[in-house]
Amino acid sequence: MAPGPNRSSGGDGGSGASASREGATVKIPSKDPKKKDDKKDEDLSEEDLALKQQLELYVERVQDPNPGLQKVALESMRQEIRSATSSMTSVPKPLKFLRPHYGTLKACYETMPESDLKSYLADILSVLALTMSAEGERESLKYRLLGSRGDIGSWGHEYVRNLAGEISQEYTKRQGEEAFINDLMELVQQIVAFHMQHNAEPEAVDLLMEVEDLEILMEHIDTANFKRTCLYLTSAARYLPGPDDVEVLKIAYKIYLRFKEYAKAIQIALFLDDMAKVKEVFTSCDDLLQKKQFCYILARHGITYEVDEEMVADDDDREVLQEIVNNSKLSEGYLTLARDIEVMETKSPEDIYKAHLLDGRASAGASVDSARQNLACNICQCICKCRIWAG
Amino acid sequence: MLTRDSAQLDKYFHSSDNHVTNGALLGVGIVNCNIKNDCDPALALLGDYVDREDASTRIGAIIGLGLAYAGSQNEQIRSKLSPILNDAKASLDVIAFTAVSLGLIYVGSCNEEVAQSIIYILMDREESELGEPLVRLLPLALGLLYLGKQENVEVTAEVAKTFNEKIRKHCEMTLLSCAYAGTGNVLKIQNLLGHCAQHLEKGETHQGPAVLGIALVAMAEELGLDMAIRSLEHLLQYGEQNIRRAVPLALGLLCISNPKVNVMDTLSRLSHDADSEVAMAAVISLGLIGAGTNNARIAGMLRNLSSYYYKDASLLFCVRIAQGLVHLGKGLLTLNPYHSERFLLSPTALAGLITTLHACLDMKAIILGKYHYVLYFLVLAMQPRMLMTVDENLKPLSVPVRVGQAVDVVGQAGRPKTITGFQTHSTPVLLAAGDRAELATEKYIPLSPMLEGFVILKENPDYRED
Repeated sequence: MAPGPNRSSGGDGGSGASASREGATVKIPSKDPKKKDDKKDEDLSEEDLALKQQLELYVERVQDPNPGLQKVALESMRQEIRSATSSMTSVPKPLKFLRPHYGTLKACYETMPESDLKSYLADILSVLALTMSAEGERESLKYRLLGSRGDIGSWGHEYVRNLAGEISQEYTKRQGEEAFINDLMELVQQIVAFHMQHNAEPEAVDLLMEVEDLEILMEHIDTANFKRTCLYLTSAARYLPGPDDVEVLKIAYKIYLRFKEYAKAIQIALFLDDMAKVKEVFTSCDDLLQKKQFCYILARHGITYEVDEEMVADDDDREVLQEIVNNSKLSEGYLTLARDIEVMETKSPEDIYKAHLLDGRASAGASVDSARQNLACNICQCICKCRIWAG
Repeated sequence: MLTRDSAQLDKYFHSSDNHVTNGALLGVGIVNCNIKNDCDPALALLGDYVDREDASTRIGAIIGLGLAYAGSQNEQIRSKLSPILNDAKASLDVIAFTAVSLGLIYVGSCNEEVAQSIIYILMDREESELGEPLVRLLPLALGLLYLGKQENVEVTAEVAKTFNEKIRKHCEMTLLSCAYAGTGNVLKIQNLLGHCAQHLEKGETHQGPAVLGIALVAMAEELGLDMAIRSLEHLLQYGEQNIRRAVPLALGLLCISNPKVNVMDTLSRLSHDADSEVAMAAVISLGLIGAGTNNARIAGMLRNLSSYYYKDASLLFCVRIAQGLVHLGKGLLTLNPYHSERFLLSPTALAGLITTLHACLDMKAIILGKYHYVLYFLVLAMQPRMLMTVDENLKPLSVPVRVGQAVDVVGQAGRPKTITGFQTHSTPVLLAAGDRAELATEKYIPLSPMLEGFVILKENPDYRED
């Protein structure tokens, strides 16, 4: 009966706890599971009880040799599970009630002849394996690969996430054995499509990084999700060991270029220190004003860069751009800022030292080496006044 | 801009006093720093002075060239400066600064020839000379060539293993830290920490660069930065003398122009340390973390330090420098080499910072000695910390913007706000470390998604006046 396995698992937990608490009341743990189970049976509402019995009926029917009955039973079980798992506010009732029958269903699967029904059963087993399979067994994945290749999303978010986790484990194992991974990759495609559609871009990217195939990402990017994806990619690149970090940034660069976010693309190019990519951005972009903005970014970065004919055809425009890259505009801008904030007058060392705020002891410092003092004074002064003059 | 500055500097060129002309040469370099010009005025002005007799004139011109052409990989200048490296008669300081300038000019380029010349000097010089304080600039110059280039430094590192005992480990540490600077590579940080954990033989100096190296590698992103700050505090407790001298500098590098209160407190504690070198490093680092912020708390601390150390000339010197740094450009500048929402690292800026910090490792001999002008390498990192919006004709345009703390929204659902705790200002605005700006009006579209520095605004064709 249903409470059976629960009791044993509850009992195990209870006895474990009592062992650690050495000598504390031994009686209590053994009573609790029974109480719990009784409570459970009582707690079950009318509907739940009906559902439970229904599911038990289906399980029996599945074991029935008649394929017609099997089909009906499987279909109905599928329906029940699907309608429950699509909204995850609590443990889906069908999954809970089917738990004890996992073993029987698995055995039934082994003995079944090949047919559509078998793949339906595999699907159901795959979902049940979410909670039932032992750690590291990857049964959910195993049954998924054996099942019908239907829409993966209809089984719910949690299922997809669990599969993704199992795929990465399976992938590492297969890499070690140098086995085929095509079936895994098919599944990966489906999962990535699902995640990208449901605004879970970081999870899609994570899965693709595990299976080392970020190129798949390019097919699933669109204007709605590219920004978040690229933000995640560029942030994750900081924490990845090479050469992954470079790969990730190259993908981000391609995405930005495709969606015409040129300023961000040029930043990634600068981060990768790849002048060819910088040139590519210049040539891909048509807007002269945008190119001027690139030049400002390059100027701030402090690298020496030559704007050549391929990037800008017109000579005058090229001169303007080259001027910006050469940072000649910096002084103008800086002086405008200074004027705006009204700090144009230079400070004297006395202003900086604010000697008047000190206690009187400073005057006793006449014994200090005056050359040093003057030197300090000068350096201090010019650091302050600098940039007002600097080109 | 250049003509006006040339006029200003010109009068100093014609002075009779050697030091004034040397200063003018350095000044030309500073003025041309981060600017490129097709007519190469800096080369024209400084080129001749490189070959003069007087060592300090040569050094002034060489550093000037290094500052003016940092990152440009200019062949002409290399042909001018390389012969000096190969000149056996030149004094060690001229050679050291030539190497550093070449390192700056070819920063991150992995240039074989320059690397070979520097390696040759290190192998060639006698052991007695290798003990000089300025010799630490040579491995630094070698490191600058491979700044951020990771594995490309392997070959040179192998060669470095054949150097003399005195300089071998120092070289190794410097090369490693420069090659992985700004990468956040955890394995290298662990390697460097391992070196710092060892007990030293007498006279070994390599743990200082190792500590700086930890800061260099870890500064890549926020989490690594915080972790590195914690490790450095541990190093303070268990480290040898030369580690304790380097830790304040490393802290200064990690939080450059970003006055974090916990780091401020640590440095304040260290500035009263019994070992005067540690105190000096801590004071300069206080200046570094508050660089260009006008932070009142740091300014107050430094004022108190100036009265505390009123009798000690060297420490007072450091306090004055730090005070100057805090008011850098009257609060309009920053020394932070990172830009574009802390995504991109400017190699020339970082090179300038590293050079100054390596020189500060040996405070008494270099900064407080004859070579105080090494501090001027900081100008490579000086950048305005502003947001300036310009219109389509590149003329300044004032628009309302919201400026607030940046929020990390990676992986968050929906379209979360990217700034918090904001105030509305009109451009141009100043951005502190960790700040982000966004346009407060629909009237314009920015052509860059990151609102920093110069941003061109385009009129929004869909905008309707309400």
